[in-house]
Amino acid sequence: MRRALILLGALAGCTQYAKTSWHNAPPVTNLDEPHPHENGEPTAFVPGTEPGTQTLAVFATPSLLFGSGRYGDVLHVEPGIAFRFERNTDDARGYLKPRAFAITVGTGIATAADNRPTTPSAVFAQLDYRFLAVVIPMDIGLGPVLYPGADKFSTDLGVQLDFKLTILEIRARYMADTGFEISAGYSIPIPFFFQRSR
Amino acid sequence: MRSPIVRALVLALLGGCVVTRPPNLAERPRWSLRAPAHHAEGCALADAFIRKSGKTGIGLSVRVRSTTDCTFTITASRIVFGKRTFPAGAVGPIALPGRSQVYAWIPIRFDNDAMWNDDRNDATIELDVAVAATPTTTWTIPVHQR
Repeated sequence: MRRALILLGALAGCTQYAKTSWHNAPPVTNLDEPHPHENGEPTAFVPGTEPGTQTLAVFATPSLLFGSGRYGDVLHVEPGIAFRFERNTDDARGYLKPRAFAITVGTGIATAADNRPTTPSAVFAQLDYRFLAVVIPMDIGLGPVLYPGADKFSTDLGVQLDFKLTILEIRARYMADTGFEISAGYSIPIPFFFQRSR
Repeated sequence: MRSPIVRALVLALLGGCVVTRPPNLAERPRWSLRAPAHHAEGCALADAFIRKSGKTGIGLSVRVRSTTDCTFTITASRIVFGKRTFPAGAVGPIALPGRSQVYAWIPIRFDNDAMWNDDRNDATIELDVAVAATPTTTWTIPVHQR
C-alpha cells in the first residue's frame, strides 16, 4: 500500500516540472571513518547518502454533497472546497504514509434546496486521521463548523464528523440551533506536494 | 467505457503536482579544494584531499611524505568562514623514518546545513603544521562548496 501511495504522488503529475528545493541539501556522511581505500588519488571521494525528506502535502478537495436536515426533511445540495494539510517525514522520498494525522479547513460554497433561497454555507476545520481498511485508505475527521449568518442571532455553531472512503464522503453535523444534518456525495482530492531534504 | 466519475478522478489527479522536490544524490552540494593543496616544509611534503562532505562537515585526508627521517605534527586545525571559526582536531606527531609515506585523517565538524542554507560556501581550512623541530606554520587551504 505504501508503494501505491507513493505511486499516487507520482501520478499526481508534473514531477518533471517540480522546482528543486535546496534547503538542507548536503548529503549524510560519516566523518568517523577515513576513505576505505586511500591511495592518494586526488579525485577520490566517498559519496554521501540520501538524508531523507520532509513533505507537506496539500490536498485541494472540491466536493459535491447531498443531504438532509438543514431545512428539515428537504433535500439540500452543498458544493464545497476543502484544503487538507498533511506533513510526512521519510527516510527515502515517500510522499505519504498509510496512517497520518492532518488538518483540514474548508467551506461550502452555498447551500441550495428546492423552494428555499440559496444561502451561504458552512465553514469548518477538522483534525483528520487516515488509515487503511485492508488496502483502501479511509479518513475520519472531527471539528467545529459554523454557518455564518447575517447577524449573531442567525449564526449557527456546531460540530462536524466526516468520513471519506476514496472519493466517497459522508458528513454529519450537529448544529446548536438546527440540530442534526447528514449529507453524502463525492469529493476529489487533488494533491500538491512540497518536498525538501531533512 | 469508464464512468464519468473515474475519468473525472483521473483528470483531477493529473491536475495535481509535485511542487518542490529535494535534489538527487548526484545533484547535492559538496566541498572541494579551490586548487591542489600542497605544503612543503623541511623534510616533509604534504598534500590534502577532501574525501567526504556532508551535513556534519568535511573529511580531509592528508598525505605526508618524508625525504629523510622526519616528524610531522598538525598541532591544531580549523575551518574559517569569515569571522566564524570551527575548530577541528590535531594529528601526530607522526614519525616518518627515511623516505616514507603516511595518511592522516582529519574530520572537520560543523553544521554544514546551516552554512549551506546561509549561502556561506567559501571557507578556508587552516592546519597548524610543525615539521621536525621547526616552528609551527599555518597551512591555509581555500575550499568551496557547490
